[in-house]
Amino acid sequence: MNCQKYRILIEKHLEGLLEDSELSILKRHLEECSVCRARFEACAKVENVVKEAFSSKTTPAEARASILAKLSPMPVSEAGGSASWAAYRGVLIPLIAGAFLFVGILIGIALVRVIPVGQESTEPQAPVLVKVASLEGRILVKHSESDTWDELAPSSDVYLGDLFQSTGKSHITLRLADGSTVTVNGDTALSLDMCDGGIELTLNYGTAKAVVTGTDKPFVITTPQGRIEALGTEFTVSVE
Amino acid sequence: MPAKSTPDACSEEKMVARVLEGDKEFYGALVERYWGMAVALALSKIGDPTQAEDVAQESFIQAYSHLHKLRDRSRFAGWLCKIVFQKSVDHIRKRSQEKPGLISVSEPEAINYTLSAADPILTDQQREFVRDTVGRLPAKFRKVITMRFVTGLSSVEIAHQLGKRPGTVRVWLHRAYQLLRKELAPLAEEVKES
Repeated sequence: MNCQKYRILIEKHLEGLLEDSELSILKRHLEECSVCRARFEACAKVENVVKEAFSSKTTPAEARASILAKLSPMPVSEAGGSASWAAYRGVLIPLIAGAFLFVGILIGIALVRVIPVGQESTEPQAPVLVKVASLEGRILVKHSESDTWDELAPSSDVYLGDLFQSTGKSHITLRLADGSTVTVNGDTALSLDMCDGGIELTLNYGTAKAVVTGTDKPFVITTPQGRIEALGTEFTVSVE
Repeated sequence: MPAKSTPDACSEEKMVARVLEGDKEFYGALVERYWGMAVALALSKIGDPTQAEDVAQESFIQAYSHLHKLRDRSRFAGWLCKIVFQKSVDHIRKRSQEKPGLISVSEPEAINYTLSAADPILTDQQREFVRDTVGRLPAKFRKVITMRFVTGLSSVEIAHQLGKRPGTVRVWLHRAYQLLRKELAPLAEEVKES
């Protein structure tokens, strides 16, 4: 029985992205397939155990009542204020802005590097292209901005941050900008991402072979068992 | 005059906006929604349930007084996580200054955690084992596991709250799950569905 499709549905369930119609399809399959059922039940058990262990003695409703009773007067609103404040705004704001500009010029760039809580920059990084050097069989890819799996073609654009899943007897080689290659055999799931200026290969399961050519940046391999860093070597990693 | 919307019908962004307009009821709704997450995050760092609830409560109170500083109002949960983390660190530091020598963390003892089918819930010892195990995860894994399993946010929602790409959060979630499944295997084997 080819359970690749249902394995993907179980992953979606773990991610909280399974739709009701997909759940119905999955449940019907679980009635027939003990392997998938064991995989699904393992996921559900871990979730339930974590939920149970971290359950709070105080209910959310009790916490709500307790916290609301302790709150100070309403937080300052950017748009709120009295009529007298509004009357001064036209003169005061330009003066304050000018003062800050003067101080900023005096002190310099260093000030803008302080980032307090709640104001962190969340600008996304530009996607980094990865070349498909060779492809055989059926390889699925999930781009970082997408919720769906697509079948990879030799001419497809793939990027760091994408998830790859190979099936059956498939085979793919990805070539990075520095010439390093990662070769993936069948029944493997992995992703490649940036890490401290270098590359991080995350192997969820299966086998991957890496040939690392760059020597000035780290190449890190992460599996469920741990994390290792390699420079300028050739190695094969397997996760069952 | 438009009908007043209820907290349940509002997006998080609108809820925060209503709180800033002075409607505390909407902040109460935020508390109810993320109380479990805040306690779980604090608990994974502090270890003591009562102290964790205190830290969670202080975090919500601080978040309220600084709410006007939240730049992206749709990311209240991610912002709250940072406050809880900082408060937890402060709490541990204070605790170590008050009672030096009592905060050393040791590895949990190797105890047989297999349950019989008749046990409906985890014992205190088993809860502590699970909390220790989650507490040993890297911070980013601990955060996504808590937001996913305790609060029920999807990986896409978690990515939005943390300002990360969805693919990154999916990878973290799967890695964290693999680590937990391995460490909790003896315990989870016979836990009954509640």
